[in-house]
Amino acid sequence: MTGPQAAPLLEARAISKTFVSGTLVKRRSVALERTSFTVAESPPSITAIAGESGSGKTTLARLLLGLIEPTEGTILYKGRSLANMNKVERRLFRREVQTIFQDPFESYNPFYKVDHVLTTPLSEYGLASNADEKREIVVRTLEELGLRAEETLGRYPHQLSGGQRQRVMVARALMLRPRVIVADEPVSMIDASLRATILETLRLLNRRHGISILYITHDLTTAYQIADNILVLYRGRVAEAGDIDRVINQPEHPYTKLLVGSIPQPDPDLPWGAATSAVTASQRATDTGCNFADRCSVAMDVCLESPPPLFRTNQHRATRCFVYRGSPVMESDDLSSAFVPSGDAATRS
Amino acid sequence: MTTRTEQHSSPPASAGAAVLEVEDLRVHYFTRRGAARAVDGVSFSLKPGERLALVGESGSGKTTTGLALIGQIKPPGKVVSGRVLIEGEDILAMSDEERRTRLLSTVAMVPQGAMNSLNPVIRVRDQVLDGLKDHGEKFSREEGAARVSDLFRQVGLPPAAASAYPHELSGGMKQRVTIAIAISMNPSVIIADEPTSALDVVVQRQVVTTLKAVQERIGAAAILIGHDMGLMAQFADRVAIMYGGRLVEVGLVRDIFHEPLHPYTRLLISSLPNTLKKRRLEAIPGLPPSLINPPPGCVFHPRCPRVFDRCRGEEPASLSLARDRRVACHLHDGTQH
Amino acid sequence: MALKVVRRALSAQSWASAWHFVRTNKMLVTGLGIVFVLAVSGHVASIFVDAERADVGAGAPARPPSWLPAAKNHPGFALGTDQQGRDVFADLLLGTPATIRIGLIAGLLGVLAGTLLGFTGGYFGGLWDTFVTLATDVFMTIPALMILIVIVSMVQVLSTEALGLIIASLAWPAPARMIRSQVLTMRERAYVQIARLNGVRDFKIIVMEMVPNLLPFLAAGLVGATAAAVLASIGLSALGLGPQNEPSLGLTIYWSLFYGALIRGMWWWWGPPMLIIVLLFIGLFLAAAGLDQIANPRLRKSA
Repeated sequence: MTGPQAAPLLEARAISKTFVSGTLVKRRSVALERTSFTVAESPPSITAIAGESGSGKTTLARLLLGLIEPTEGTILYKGRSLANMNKVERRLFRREVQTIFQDPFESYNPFYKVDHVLTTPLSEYGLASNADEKREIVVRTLEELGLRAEETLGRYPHQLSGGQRQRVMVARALMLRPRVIVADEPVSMIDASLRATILETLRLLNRRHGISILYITHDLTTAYQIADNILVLYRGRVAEAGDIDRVINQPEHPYTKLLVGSIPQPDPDLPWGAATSAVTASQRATDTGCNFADRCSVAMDVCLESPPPLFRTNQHRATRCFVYRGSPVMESDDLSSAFVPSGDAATRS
Repeated sequence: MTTRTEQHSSPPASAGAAVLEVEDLRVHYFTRRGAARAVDGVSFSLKPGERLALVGESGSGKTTTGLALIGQIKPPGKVVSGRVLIEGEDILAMSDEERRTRLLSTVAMVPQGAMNSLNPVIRVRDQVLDGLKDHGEKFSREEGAARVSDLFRQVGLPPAAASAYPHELSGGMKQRVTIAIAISMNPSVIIADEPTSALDVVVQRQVVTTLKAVQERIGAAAILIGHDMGLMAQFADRVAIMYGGRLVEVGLVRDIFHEPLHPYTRLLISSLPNTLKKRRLEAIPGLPPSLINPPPGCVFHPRCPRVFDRCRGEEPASLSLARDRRVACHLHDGTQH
Repeated sequence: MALKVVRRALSAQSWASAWHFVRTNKMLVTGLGIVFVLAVSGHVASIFVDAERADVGAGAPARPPSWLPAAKNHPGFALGTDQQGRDVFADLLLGTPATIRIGLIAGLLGVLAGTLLGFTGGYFGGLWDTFVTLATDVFMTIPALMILIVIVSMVQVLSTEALGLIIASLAWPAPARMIRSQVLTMRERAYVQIARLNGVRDFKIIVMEMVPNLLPFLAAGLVGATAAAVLASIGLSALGLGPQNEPSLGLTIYWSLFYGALIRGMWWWWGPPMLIIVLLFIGLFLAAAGLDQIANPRLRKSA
């Protein structure tokens, strides 16, 4: 059962990013390979983009935020390509697609009190005309997120705890009434017991304010708690995508299996599973085949020869692995066509 | 200085005697705004070969405790009182020189952020051997190379890695080098302070599994300091929970995870996400306590869902409820509540 | 629009706290105090001391200070006279501010030029940045004093200001490099990205977000450049290459060397200038150390 066929809100169309370094001798490194997916206009979704360091997830986040430009392909917002936008459209994009960064301390300019980062966008986007209005909006947003204005405003960043800082950042994003929030590892630098608050806050933004969330992380456990769908990235390529319940509890791609199997369950009676793949490369990776072949315990000859396409193993799952070549290849490039619609996921859990 | 390699080839004679005993440790940091009581009366013991997890969030005092265990508290920090007995000797009462000889040979540390603890301009094999040389060991070039090879094999590193510089190794490999250094003299106690904090989950598993394996092989006791409860569940035999500079609960790993007693432990366990079931995550309301002006009575009382009058005025003593089980909470003092 | 941005920046609340921070830093205050006293002493003193006392023939030559009980001392001359009869005290009093003035002019110009180059190079990158880096590296490897000696010896008449300009032309690389590296790191900082997402435009980001955090570095650069410039000017003057028509510390040293004051035991002539130079540099060093403290641990000031 698919959702309404509305125009997508945010679309990544065949984007890839290659970084070039060096002045005389150029070195290319492919951070992200050709990837497409969309964030629907409605219903608002929470999608996890998971991967380890070097997987390309941060690059993908930056591309979607328009902070860097794709080497190939386009990013479209509300049907308009970022590159072709005029000033007004660009400004709207900037406002409606917000972010929360990983490091709650670095996100603040140490010279100013935290109020600065909250009031600046209100002036810049014309959401308030005087200081009183600004204060009113700020206080209201903080309280909605369970923060007390007298405990947070008027302080410098180093005077707040990590959890508070991150929540103030969420408040900043919320104040602008965005449509999409790209959260890049928002809880990885927060203590375990405070993570729940921030994750619940993100869920609240999604349910109550209809904001779609792109949750970028290496921690599958927290991703599982709040996301409906997931994209698993490995070395710049999508290894597996689809309904997060399925992907995590019945992983298909050998890399996903390795990832899921390495999660330390907080239960001493659930030890780590048997190691399914090598942790480090045992033979040299080839440029032509599957990029996981050198670590894969079930690699076949074909895996070394050509890169596997995405196979549609299920209505809500796609896996880039020749083991599943019995399934049809995905017709559409758009990974989100393998997603489970958010409304359905919510009623299921 | 005699080598210690002989001492652990057979199982420890008195398995009952503790290899590490911490008695009422108090470490304060003296700042301009007052004394921050980072560690405020912590006592626990460690049996030979045992794995203890020291768990706490930021500001709980776990890292300070770890540093105190190897006698590395520097100003403005100061050990205000308490003893740390390693193999019966009080490390805190020793002179700097005496302590230095114990470091690595008796008690070794695997520090946080291996990227920073390895010297970037020295090959890793030399860094391993330097530790041994500092303790007066002498060996020829071939013997040294063989030692390093053997250690690397134990931690799962390829022998070729010995001649590499730290920046040529991945994060996980660097961390395993620090483990190799830590076990090079077969210490009785290994202290690992957040050894996997900057590592990906796949590498993390590998590092922790390696740590477990080498620790078992040399018969050392280990303390894993951190805040990732999942890792602790996989690694430890016993778990000690710290909050606000105090130990609130200690127990066997199964008991702590399946039947937590202290309200903080309970809240902590229930705030942990897992991949088996989606549910509403419980947060712990409030903020961590100030270490300069800790709340009177029980340090957790302002955030405790089961607080009552006695908690606000009287600090709960750490009571032994059963063998290997201690809780510092008025709810569990044996009387009815 | 730009003016409004600057005005906004100047009224930002944090300046009050920054000022407080600056005021309470003992080293900075002491250091700046010393330099200020030395700089102003001349101007203040010129009310009391006649400028002509620093001229040749003001008093009998080579007399020890008046407060010594020696037989041949010169009454009324607190630090005695030099070989040519100048009042050493007056000479120093008038010469010190001149030296500091050169240092400040050169330091200020050098930092200004260096900051402009370093900032634009670091922020905008590209070909311009490559050019700036190249120029900085090249100029840093040139031994400045040698170039200065060559240039100065070719100029016929040299005023204090001209000397300041010449020294400034070689004082810009160090600040340029420092500012550039700071800008490079700052540009990637999360809070700059957040500012962009907050809708702040480039120019405003530079002025409101980056410059306030650069101030400690700018100030440190200024102190460093001033110190280097003072040293250069004293050196040049001591070699006889500086302006000779106005008193300056370096010139005093030049004459004392010329007349062999050291060998002749005229300690009141070679001693005091050295003392003042030492004092000046202690002041500059303390100021730099104080700024260093400010630059770093605004972050170290943890709750």
